[in-house]
Amino acid sequence: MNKYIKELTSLMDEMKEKSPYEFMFYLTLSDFNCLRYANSMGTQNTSIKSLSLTLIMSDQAKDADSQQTTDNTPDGAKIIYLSSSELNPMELLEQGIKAIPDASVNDEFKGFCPPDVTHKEVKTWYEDTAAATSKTKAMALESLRKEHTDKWLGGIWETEEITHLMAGSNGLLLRDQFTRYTFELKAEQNGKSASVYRIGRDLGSFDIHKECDKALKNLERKTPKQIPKDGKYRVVFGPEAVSEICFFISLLGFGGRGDKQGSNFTSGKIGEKLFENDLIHLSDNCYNPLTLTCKHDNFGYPRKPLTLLNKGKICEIAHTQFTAKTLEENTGHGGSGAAMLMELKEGSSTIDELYTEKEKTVLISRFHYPTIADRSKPEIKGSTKDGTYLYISDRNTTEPTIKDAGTLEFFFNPVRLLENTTALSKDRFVVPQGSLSMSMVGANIVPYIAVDDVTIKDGKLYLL
Amino acid sequence: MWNKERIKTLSDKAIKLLKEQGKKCLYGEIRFVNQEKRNISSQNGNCSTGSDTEKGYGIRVLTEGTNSRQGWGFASTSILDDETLLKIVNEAVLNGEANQLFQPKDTTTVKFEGSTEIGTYATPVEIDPFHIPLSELGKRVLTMEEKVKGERAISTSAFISADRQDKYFFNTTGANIHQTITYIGGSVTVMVSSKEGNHNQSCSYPAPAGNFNTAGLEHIDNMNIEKNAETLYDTACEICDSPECEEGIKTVVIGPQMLALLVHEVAGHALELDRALGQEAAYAGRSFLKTDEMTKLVYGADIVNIVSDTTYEGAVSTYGWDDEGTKSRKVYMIKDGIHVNYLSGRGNAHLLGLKSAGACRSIGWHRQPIDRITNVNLLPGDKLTAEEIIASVDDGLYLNIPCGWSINSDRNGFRFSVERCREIKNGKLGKYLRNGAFSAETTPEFWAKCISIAKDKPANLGFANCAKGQPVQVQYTGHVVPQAVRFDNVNTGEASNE
Repeated sequence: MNKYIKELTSLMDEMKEKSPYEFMFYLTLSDFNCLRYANSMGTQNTSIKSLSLTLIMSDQAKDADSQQTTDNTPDGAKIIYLSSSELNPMELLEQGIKAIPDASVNDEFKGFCPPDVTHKEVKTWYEDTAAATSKTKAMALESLRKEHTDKWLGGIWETEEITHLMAGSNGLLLRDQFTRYTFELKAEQNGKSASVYRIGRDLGSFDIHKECDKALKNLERKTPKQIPKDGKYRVVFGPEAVSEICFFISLLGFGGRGDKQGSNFTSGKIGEKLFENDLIHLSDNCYNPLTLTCKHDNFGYPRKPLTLLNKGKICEIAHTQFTAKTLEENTGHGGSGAAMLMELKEGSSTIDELYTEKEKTVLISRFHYPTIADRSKPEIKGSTKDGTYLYISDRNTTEPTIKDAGTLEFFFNPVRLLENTTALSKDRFVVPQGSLSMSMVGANIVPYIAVDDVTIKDGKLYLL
Repeated sequence: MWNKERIKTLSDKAIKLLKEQGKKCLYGEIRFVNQEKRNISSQNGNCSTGSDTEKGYGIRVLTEGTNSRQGWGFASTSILDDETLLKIVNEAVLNGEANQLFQPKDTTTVKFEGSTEIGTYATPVEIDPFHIPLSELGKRVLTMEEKVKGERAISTSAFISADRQDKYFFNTTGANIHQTITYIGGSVTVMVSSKEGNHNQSCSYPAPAGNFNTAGLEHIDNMNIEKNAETLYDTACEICDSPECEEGIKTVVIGPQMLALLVHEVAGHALELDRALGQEAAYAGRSFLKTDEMTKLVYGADIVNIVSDTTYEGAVSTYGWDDEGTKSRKVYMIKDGIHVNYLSGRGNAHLLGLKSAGACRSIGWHRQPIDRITNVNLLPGDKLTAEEIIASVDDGLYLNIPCGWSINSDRNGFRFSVERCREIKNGKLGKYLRNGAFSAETTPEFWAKCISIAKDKPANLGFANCAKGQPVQVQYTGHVVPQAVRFDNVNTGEASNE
């Protein structure tokens, strides 16, 4: 892989000479394997060795004041993106130079500014992850299968080595190299199911049997199906569901674009209390190593850690090159445009306490097709996925009765979910943001949360 | 575009290397894909244009080990040198061998037959979107967006997106196929705020995520987006100021865009054989259409006929061959209300003794082909026109343009909400209602309520955003659907109030 990096960097001087415009290249090299397994039927086992080169070019003249801030060019600038799966930087540059005159002015884009590069080379690379092959992974999974022939086991095991290189005409040069893995396992038996997942950088500290045992422990605890009767319930959200709630909070309330448009639920309220709940502290922090991502955005700007909500107070929002009014306001969230590496502060409860403190509790492990129903309220809707259980606690016994609650539709205001959160687990979990394959999206770190006074009516959950 | 000489050299070498593997590689194929994309979008008057090209190849093999088990392996790369080719062949075989560990013992009793097809296919294109300057397309998108602006608009957006895939396919059984498929779609959307500022309403044409076909820029012309956009802002304001749709049990007439998504989610996905076989169970879900009930299960009323048709002119999943070389074809999936077949490729179809439906598809060089929705089409009726169907309803709702959905993971049971919900009173379309929705506890129960299907020329609609598989594949899926279908006794209304 190093030869590609050398080739691109060696051409930079020549390309700077050739181009009358500012530009930057984004080179991604990835070696990825996804072993997808199922108990009795192998499905996909995919390897991808890829190279991706993107040119971002602006009509900003190179001799412009290199310290120019975004305030100085209020009328916008032209910007074009050209990508290729070949290492052809000179060809892309020539295409870009030809295309710029015809491009339209984007009045949000104010041209390139030199990012404040604080890390020129970052390496979080682990040999055990890089050396994993489909065969070694399959053999480990086969040993699980032989131990549990009475159950259906399926999922994925991804391993990946990634190198990002960013090189710009304004002097930007960043290199980020890392390994990461994702493991997901779903176990089914007699119509019941349970799942576990784990992500990380170092496979050397990963124990597949321990992960499987977690899923099987949940599988064994369950009893037959019972749809919860109409009434008010405590709902405990598992880490995957909490991660989705945080995602919607970020998307609907904490992006710079929504703030400019006035469509965020936080618009005009920054610095104000959104709700009274001292338990809620939500932040965005790529510097926590568990969030597993790059420390810079697609323009090479360092990602800044943000406090989104502190005790219910709206603190900061995420800005990009396009939405920031000044260079200082840019928080390095180009690409997604939103906070995507979130941490929800832990509480003091054990997970069992969350289930047993109330007489009736519904556990929602994860959502299926959650969508935005109304951006302004805000409101999300969807249904729960496998892993929705009804816990019935009897104070005379230590163990609650657990029933499979099936799939329930929900209509939630994600802000009210945080407002009504009465307890959080002291353990937190790392939840991946989608598949890791060839993306810069990382992970959230969240606890279980318990939300009281959720209405269940006709098998549907409401908190609006 | 590909250099044909380079393709020939690499493919000859790959096939030779695959054949040299002997029994380790029972079957092998190499698929080259050059993908060129153009995305022109604007939001609130800001236009951004982008083009993206990527090329590479994927090698898929069926391996057999000493334990008499078979396993599929796939490896791919965008690096086109000879040294990498050898690595990719070896990695595909290693991945296949790893997969053998999960196979049932009796896989060797089923013989996989590779395609022997030879030929070429290209999407007919009248106006090539890749020959139009990006700046011209940018101006057009801005014009589309300009039409939906208004005082109460809090957000406007429009896009045109074009994608061309130039593909070569070769395998160890002699197939040699070259295809050039051109996809194109676009749409315009406006979101307005209510007078009191307490709720918003989106309106889009032809649908929020656009309507994609295999065609050239003439598809954008034929949709008349600019013309239809002219009334969109007023419609959005009218809906925004309308009363909410109340919960109830009603007769509904569903319009084409909503039908396309309905067919997609609860017919298309349910018919995918990999779901029925449990291969998608850990991610996308299973299917309520069980393999042992095929040809017996009643999916809906006997007027319901659903086909997979990859030959339908201009539809977004129309091609010459699928991504393992099976000739495009039309196959009944639901015949007279009965489930009779699955969307499948050769790899899974032969496990049930079926012929491939020509539905084994991949999104590019870097993904293994899997069983996918193709053009899954609800066939028109033969009695009433759409207008006559609406005229036949005394008291009901007209529902069109989806804006939200939740569907059970086995595709049995759902709720959809729509942008456009209008009362039908005494056979005539009446006022708009806000937050219209409909739901069903089970999918067959819903399709059993299908009373009439319009006989007019159907609408050719396509999506560009269907996600499935791990690593995920976002694929084009088409649905040619009637202009209107009537269902009686449907649960309606947005249950968003406690």
